[in-house]
Amino acid sequence: MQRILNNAGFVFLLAVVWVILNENLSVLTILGGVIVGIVALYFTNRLVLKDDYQRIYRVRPLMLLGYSLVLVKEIYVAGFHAMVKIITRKVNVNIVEFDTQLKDDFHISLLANSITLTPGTVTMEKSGQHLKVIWIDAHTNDSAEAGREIMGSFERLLLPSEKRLGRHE
Amino acid sequence: MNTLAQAVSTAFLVVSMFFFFVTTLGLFRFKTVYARLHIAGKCLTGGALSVILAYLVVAPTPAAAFRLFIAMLLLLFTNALGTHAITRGSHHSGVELNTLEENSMAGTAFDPRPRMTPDASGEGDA
Repeated sequence: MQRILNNAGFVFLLAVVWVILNENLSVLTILGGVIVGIVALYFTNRLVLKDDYQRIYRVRPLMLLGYSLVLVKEIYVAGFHAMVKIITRKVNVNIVEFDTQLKDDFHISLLANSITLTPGTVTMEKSGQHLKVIWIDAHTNDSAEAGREIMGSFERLLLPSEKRLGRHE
Repeated sequence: MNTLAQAVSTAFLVVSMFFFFVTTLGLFRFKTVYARLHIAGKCLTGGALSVILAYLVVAPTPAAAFRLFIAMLLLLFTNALGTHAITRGSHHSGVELNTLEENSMAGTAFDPRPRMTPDASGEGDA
């Protein structure tokens, strides 16, 4: 019971999604959403994560909002950049490796997935803080410079958020 | 206001068509595995995102807009996961940077190679 109360925010979020998908704002639907949310959270905590949701997915919601705006902007900017490369056939696919300064595993996953979402770069492997990325427009072999160019704006946003949460594991 | 929303929506649709067109073009143009993976991933992030944004602008009810928003989040998450999984899998099974993609349909009627000119490929999906 205590754990369910701890996860009230997530249950609320799941219930909101449930109500939206049902397009029906009655007491029964809301109750159903809450129950389904609790069941879903229980099973993920128990079977998938083997830990608590709140401990693993600890981010600031406001940061996430700003982050997704930057992400969508980045997708379009990089997208048009890559379009030009495809049309003019000037691609140079190569693998670059670099280290990120982030320490939290969840934040590194966020960063890696953002890199995959941005057209032109796909994360291939992550081990600890080390990322291996395929770059469609590789014009530098220098690890630090490639890292700055690929993950610059994402890392700048994620670093303060991680520091604010004070997690160093 | 309504006209403005429709204009924005149309602009997004045009952008998405452009993305899809270049994606199709790129898939036929490049032969290596990783280059094709890049381009296939672009199709979704650029094209499908634009389609959803286009309908988000002209959504008739707030509920419909929220559903589209959820669909957008789902697409973004699953696209990143899928692209990463395929790339990682091909890396671990020994695909090199300049490995050409095997044509599993070679010799059949579905072999794309005879029709690889850019304008023939553009008509397919754009």
